[in-house]
Amino acid sequence: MLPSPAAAGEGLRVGAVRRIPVALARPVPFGPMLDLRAIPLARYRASAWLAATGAAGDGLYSVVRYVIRLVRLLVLLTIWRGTLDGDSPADHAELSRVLTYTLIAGAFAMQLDAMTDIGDAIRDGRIATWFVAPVRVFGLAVANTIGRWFPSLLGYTLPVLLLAPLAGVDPRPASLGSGLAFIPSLGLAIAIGFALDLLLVSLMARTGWSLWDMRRLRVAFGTVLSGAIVPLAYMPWGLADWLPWFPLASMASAPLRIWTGDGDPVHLVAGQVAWATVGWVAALAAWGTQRERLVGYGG
Amino acid sequence: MGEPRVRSTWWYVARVPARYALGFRMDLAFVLRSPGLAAYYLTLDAILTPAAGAATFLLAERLSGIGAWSVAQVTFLLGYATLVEGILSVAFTYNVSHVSRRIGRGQLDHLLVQPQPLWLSLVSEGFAPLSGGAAVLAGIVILSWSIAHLPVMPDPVWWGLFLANLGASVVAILGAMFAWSSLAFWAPVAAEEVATNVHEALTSLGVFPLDGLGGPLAAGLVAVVPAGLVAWLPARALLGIGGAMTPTWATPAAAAGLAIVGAVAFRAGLRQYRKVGSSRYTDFGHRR
Repeated sequence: MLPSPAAAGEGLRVGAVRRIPVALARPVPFGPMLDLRAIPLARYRASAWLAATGAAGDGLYSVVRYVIRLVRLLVLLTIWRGTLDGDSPADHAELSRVLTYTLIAGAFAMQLDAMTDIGDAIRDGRIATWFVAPVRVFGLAVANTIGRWFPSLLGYTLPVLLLAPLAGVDPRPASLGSGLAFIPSLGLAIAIGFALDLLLVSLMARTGWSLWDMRRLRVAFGTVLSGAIVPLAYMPWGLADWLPWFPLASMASAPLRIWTGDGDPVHLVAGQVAWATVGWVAALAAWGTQRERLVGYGG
Repeated sequence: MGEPRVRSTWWYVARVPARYALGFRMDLAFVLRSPGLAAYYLTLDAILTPAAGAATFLLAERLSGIGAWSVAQVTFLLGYATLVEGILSVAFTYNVSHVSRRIGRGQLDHLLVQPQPLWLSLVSEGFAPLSGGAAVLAGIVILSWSIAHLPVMPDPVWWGLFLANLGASVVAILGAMFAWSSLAFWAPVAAEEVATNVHEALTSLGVFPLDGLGGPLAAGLVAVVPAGLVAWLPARALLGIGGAMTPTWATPAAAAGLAIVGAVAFRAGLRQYRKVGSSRYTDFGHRR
């Protein structure tokens, strides 16, 4: 029988930088993960590249999804045109703003509802191979997701933005400042989405709830309450007043409002930073305690 | 042993109730084996299926309607769409409606080896009246509320047209999903999930009033990916919405056309399947 690394006085290698004692190699929520030097960026880059090339080869599957997303976007634009059809300049300005909001929401839909496939990996058993990969499990999931976004950004987002004027929509941000502020805001929105993803996966591990129910729950309520379909200002029953204070609004509404020049970017980004911090602290704590309970199914 | 007896189609049609009874017993066993889990699934279904139209409803409520549609009419559309989805989950679950998964995964053989025609398996195998029934109940509740708030006086004729349109919506969706799923006979890997994509398009687009779309787009949403037949066209016809009245036979007629297209595409795919079969699984049972 081979001696365990601990018995042999060895440590486990973390990333490519240093050794830590075996006792600390267990999932520690706020340990080496916060040490940026320990993040093996080259490995994550390689994973993202593999995922990007794989997604680029989806062919028919990708085209079908792009067409569905495009038609859905056109339907939403048509509904807004039929709903906000006043004659005053203010009405025209509001319609133009909402159309731009809807277009950007559709173009960046995947980033505004950032979701990894770690749930799928648990369901179909791939998670077992992820645990023996020389990178962190959720880091690998994030790298795969970001990699898969690239073909979509080139094949869908970019053409939609370029061809938007043909549909009578101005895709440009309200100002140069809005466009620049959108970049960190989108990054924070993605970070909050991933934190929510990790929280839900931890909840799956704790409760045994199915992946599909989790996903349906997130899609059904997340996309509506985040402002990814309808701007929160158009919510009834006073929802427009208090939904912006919730974390879901930081996932979609905040960057979209910044792009369209609706609201103070500093306040909106500050809210996103707060929710990203809270979300990641909670997600890492939950994942650290629940990942040992994971049960994967092959098939 | 002699030759297997040749049965008439009607003999098999007469077996459908027995198959449904079997499906009911199996579904009941599932519910009784784990009532807590079943209650959880049913509750989630009852909430999440109508939630697909939450954005439409909230927008209608905030703006006191969408275009020519009042809030009650939008609610009728959403209840109708929920009921259609509920019928699909009651009668065509277990990947019967999502048949591209069975084709793409090489699981069609599981149906072909059964001692009954393929159509009978497809008609009866996805019957799960208890575990799939929550969305039906949710749809009925939403429809009841909306009809109570609409200026219509439903008489037996109206209810007959309602049921005809409801059945036609289900047939139209199945026709489109089978037509698209037939791609998996030729491209089992790439098209394995095409039914999921079509279903996603139908559920996400079927909850919007589609008035005002341009001709080609509207035609595509009726004939190619028939999101317009999920609820919009039948609701227009039944409630008399819009300047030009939509005939109540429009949805049944479109459904008949889609059923024919779906059947023709599926039969062509089956001919291909007889020649090449499926190679998705290795000798070890792993999917390629």
